[in-house]
Amino acid sequence: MYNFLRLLRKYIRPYSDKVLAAVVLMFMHTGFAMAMPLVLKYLVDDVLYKERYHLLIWVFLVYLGLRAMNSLVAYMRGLIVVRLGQAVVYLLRRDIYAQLNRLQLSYYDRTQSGKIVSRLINDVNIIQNMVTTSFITYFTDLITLVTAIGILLSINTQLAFLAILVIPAYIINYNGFIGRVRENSHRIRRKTDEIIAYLSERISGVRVIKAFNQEKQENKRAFKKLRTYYHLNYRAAMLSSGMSIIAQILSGMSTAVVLWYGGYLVLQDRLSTGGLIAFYSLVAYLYNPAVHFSQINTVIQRMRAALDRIYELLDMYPQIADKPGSPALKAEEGHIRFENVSFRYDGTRRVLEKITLDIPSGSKVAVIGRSGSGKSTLASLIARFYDPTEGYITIDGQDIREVKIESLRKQIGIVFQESMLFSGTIRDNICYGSPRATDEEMIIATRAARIDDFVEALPDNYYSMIGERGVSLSGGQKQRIAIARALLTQPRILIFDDCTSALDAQTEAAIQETLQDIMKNRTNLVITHRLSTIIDADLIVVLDEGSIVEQGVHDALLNLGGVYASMFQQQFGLVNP
Amino acid sequence: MNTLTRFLTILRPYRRQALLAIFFSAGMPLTILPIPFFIKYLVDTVIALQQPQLLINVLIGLVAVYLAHNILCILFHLNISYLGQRIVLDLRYKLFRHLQRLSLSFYDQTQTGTIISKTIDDVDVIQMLISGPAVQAVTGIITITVVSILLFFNDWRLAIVTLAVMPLYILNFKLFIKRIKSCNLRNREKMDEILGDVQEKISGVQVVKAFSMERQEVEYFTSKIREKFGLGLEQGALGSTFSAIAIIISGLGTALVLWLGGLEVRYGLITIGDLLAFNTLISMLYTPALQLSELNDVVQQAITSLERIFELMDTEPDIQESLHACHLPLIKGSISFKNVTFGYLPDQTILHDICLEIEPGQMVALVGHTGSGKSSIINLLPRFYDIHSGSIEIDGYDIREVQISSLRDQIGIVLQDPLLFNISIRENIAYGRLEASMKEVEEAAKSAEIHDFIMTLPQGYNTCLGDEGIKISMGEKQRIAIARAILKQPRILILDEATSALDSLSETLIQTALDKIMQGRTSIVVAHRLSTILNADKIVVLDDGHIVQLGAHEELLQQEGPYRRFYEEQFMNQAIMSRPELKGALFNIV
Ligand SMILES: Nc1ncnc2c1ncn2[C@@H]1O[C@H](COP(=O)(O)OP(=O)(O)OP(=O)(O)O)[C@@H](O)[C@H]1O
Ligand SMILES: Nc1ncnc2c1ncn2[C@@H]1O[C@H](COP(=O)(O)OP(=O)(O)OP(=O)(O)O)[C@@H](O)[C@H]1O
Ligand SMILES: [Mg+2]
Ligand SMILES: [Mg+2]
Repeated sequence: MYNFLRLLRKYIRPYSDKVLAAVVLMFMHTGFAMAMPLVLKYLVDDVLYKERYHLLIWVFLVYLGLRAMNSLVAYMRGLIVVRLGQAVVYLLRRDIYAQLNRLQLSYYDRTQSGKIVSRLINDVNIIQNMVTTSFITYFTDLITLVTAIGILLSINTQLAFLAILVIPAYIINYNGFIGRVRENSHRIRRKTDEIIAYLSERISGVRVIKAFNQEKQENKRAFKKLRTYYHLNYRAAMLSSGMSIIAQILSGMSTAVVLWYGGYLVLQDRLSTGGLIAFYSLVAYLYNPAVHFSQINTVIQRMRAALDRIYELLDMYPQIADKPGSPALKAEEGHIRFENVSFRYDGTRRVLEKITLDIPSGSKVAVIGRSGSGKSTLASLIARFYDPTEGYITIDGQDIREVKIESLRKQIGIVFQESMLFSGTIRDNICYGSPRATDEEMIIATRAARIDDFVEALPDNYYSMIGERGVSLSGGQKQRIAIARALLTQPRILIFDDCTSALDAQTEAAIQETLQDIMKNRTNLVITHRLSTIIDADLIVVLDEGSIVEQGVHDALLNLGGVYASMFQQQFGLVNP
Repeated sequence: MNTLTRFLTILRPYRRQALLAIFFSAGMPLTILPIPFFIKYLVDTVIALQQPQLLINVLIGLVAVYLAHNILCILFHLNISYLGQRIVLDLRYKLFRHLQRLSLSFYDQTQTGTIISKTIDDVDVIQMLISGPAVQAVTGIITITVVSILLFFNDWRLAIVTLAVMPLYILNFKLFIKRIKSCNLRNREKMDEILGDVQEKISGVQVVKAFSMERQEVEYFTSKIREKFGLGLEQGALGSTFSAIAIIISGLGTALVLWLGGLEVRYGLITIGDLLAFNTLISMLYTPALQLSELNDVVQQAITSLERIFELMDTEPDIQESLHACHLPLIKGSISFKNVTFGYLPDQTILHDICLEIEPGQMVALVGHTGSGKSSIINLLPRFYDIHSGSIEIDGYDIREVQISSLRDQIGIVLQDPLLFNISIRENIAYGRLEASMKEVEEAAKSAEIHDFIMTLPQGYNTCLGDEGIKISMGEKQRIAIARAILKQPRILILDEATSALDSLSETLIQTALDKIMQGRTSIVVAHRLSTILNADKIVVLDDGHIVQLGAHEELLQQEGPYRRFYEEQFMNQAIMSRPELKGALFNIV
């Protein structure tokens, strides 16, 4: 319930005028609705029994007027409620999305993207449902209940007490179910997540499924998941019907008793016929809310489950965030230093061990090493995707944890090992980090990445759509687009993580050539397995199992006769036919 | 076929339950119909004639009526919960199965988010339709019919007045239906768009962060949900107006009845009890009418969702198994491409007139510039896409004439993009052959040089990969993908840049292991690092979708042509050229 209060405070309070208006309108709505049985009473007791038929036209007009008012009020309330619901959903989604963008990568390492999406979409939908219907119904019902009790009491106290007598039974019924309903709702939400995550993964991995002929097995797996989902939902449906049916039985029985005892009172002249009829119509207003409460209950439990999950996300503290008042990075030089840096991913063994490394500005430093030795990890620390477990990293003498992250990342251009493009046009992708780049600038970057010929040969050239994750491009084309994307931001520091692995030697050499110019005046970190591209590096760092085992220039390392030398022999020695 | 009739065909397997549901939902309103007559009895007989001893009849009658009603309700709920959930299960499963059938070209053009939105959200809407509105509609229609008849029996004059307003309901409905429908559709589509984008941005969050685009992304998202906000308001406004009008209409009917009914009482045509009974009956008539028109909103949403689901179900896979496809027997592994022309889109040509003969057991290497069509050739063998013209034969069987699964079963492929699933390492490696023993899995892992790494993990082969488990480096992924393909023991092994992210030591080790595995199997290898393909039986040089050279390494090296240029380029990199002292050293090695 605590989260619900927070929702109220943060997202609903700004609309308190709307909520107030909705409640007032609701009140009016109930008022008008409950006045109708009174018109009926008047009709029977004062018009028909007393044979004052000239008043009939008034009955007609008043009744019609009440209905018209009722409809007007309902209309206005509808508009306000929709507005409220939409606004709350809008604000919630905006905040969740902003929070998602604040959270550090290790969060994404742990959480399947499908599950994240599910929170942003499905959980919020549930909240919307709650705000627009249940929440308002709750209010109305409460008001209706109180007013109905008041009117009933005024018509006949005895009968009213009799009618109210069953209300505790409703409460018992409600309490009997609530625990199970709540638990089930949580399970359903978790299962929904799981299914969405499963689906999205299987959809992106469809090539593998097909290549390995696993359609049938996947079908089986899906069926199993969907079946559990079905059972949970079925159980939820059963619980909620169980609850509402018991409520209905209660209301039916008590209505019967009211009519019976009411008839008795009329015969004793302690109640008029019209009064009995009005009472009969009004009792519905007493029991309907009670029935509603038990139906709404399910919705509310679902809402609580959703709300808890939303707040769990919103409350997550971004582990990598700007310190308050941290200055922007001043990177005139772009001199990077690793000072005794060790790092482990959450709960795994150490991936980097006591790395001390100096990358002077304007230099080209190569990091090589066997697969899994920690090269990509090293690169991701510079952009502060993760914070070192020990030690620190400075750029131009400023600890990167002490500066604004945005200012840091703006200075760094990374080409990832996996190209990761987005669906959209080629232009959208190249200009991703620099939306304000002009066409000329974009074309220069494209040319430097040697992808200009390909793009310009396409029918829509820069405006060609490339599909999700760039599916309609070849591996090498994707890599070059990613290179162009990084170059266009004109960063001080350039990081290339094995980004020419899918390129043929010629294209690679051509890119190397253009890069030579671009790399001047910048700090460059190159990760690669192709040693030929880094022979001219100012410093070659050899990583092995997370530690630096050798560093130096090519010649020195070759003469050293260590790991580098053997790697070099390996790569070129092989060529020997 | 129209959407609703099609929906009924989905219901067909459950027609017994559906009929029962209709039966119960018809019964529920019918059982409470006597209530107005009890009221009339109470007013006209018991009260007007002062017969207190008859009062007990009212009580017994009403209790009986309510009990009957509630029993029906219980049966109905049992039935409808099952039906609704069961159909959702069926629909989702059908959709999933269908998705598995669809060809890659469909996935090339569709965002993951959209597909998910259809399988989850749209199906949920259907479920809502079944357990809510569909039933209410049945109940409503039956109630309206029966109550109308009762009204006529009670007082035909008042009945005419009551029913006279019904056409207004219909008019109101007609007036709004189109706009409500189009608004629903736009709303769903906007949601798809948002979902598609969010899904992608979340999986590519690293890029978003690397380029410091968080703020822009949030702004973009905000602008999208703002548009959705607008659509939501429009939808709400339409719905509210629609039902407000419906309320007025029903009010008009009731008010008229009270007025005219009062006059009838005056002239002694009916009793007060009659009028009261009539009034109760009317509310039984207008409530469902009102509900029916409010249902309209939900029904429209459901129809929109149904249409979207059917649209997906109607997408036929481009790759169809031919009707008399035969089972491809265990192959020797000869492959022949005969004048193959191919493009991903109908009017696009990526591969031109490819002719290629591969003998069983041969190793063939594809080389060429990036984008020259190597992966495309590979995509054709497992029939991921169909060719435009020409034919591809394996052991003399045209691949379009055999059962797709029997074809793919004999092909092991390492895709350029090493995609793994969020399941354990063991399950990932055994993905193509779930029944493989642990020993076989380990052997495959050893051949792919990944066994040692796996053993360093605390849970070894049971370590879960991916978001729920651990993330691994690119080279590690590639090696697992290799192990996965090896374990399948395919007749044809395809490696598309399978070792591009590996250091040369690992590459060499894997190469040695692969050489052994490739014995007796046909293999096709794509690699930019020529070192890995030197001992191929045949090297195919592709350029812009044409085969420009074909032959063994030595042969091609002798010829003046692109292969030689590739070769020289690779080992005489710019960097080396700039250091003359190295040049000599390298040439010696070469
Ligand atoms: N997000 C992560 N969470 C947990 N462990 C990780 C994560 N990313 C990488 N690792 C592990 O850390 C080690 C170093 O990974 P890294 O990606 O830095 O290797 P690499 O040197 O770039 O290898 P490659 O050449 O194969 O790309 C690997 O053993 C890997 O399994
Ligand atoms: N799914 C697709 N839809 C449309 N066009 C595609 C698709 N996949 C590839 N292409 C285009 O077909 C051409 C050949 O691509 P292919 O992937 O076969 O090249 P490749 O030789 O494997 O290149 P690389 O070495 O870069 O992987 C490219 O121009 C590419 O843009
Ligand atoms: Mg890496
Ligand atoms: Mg390729």
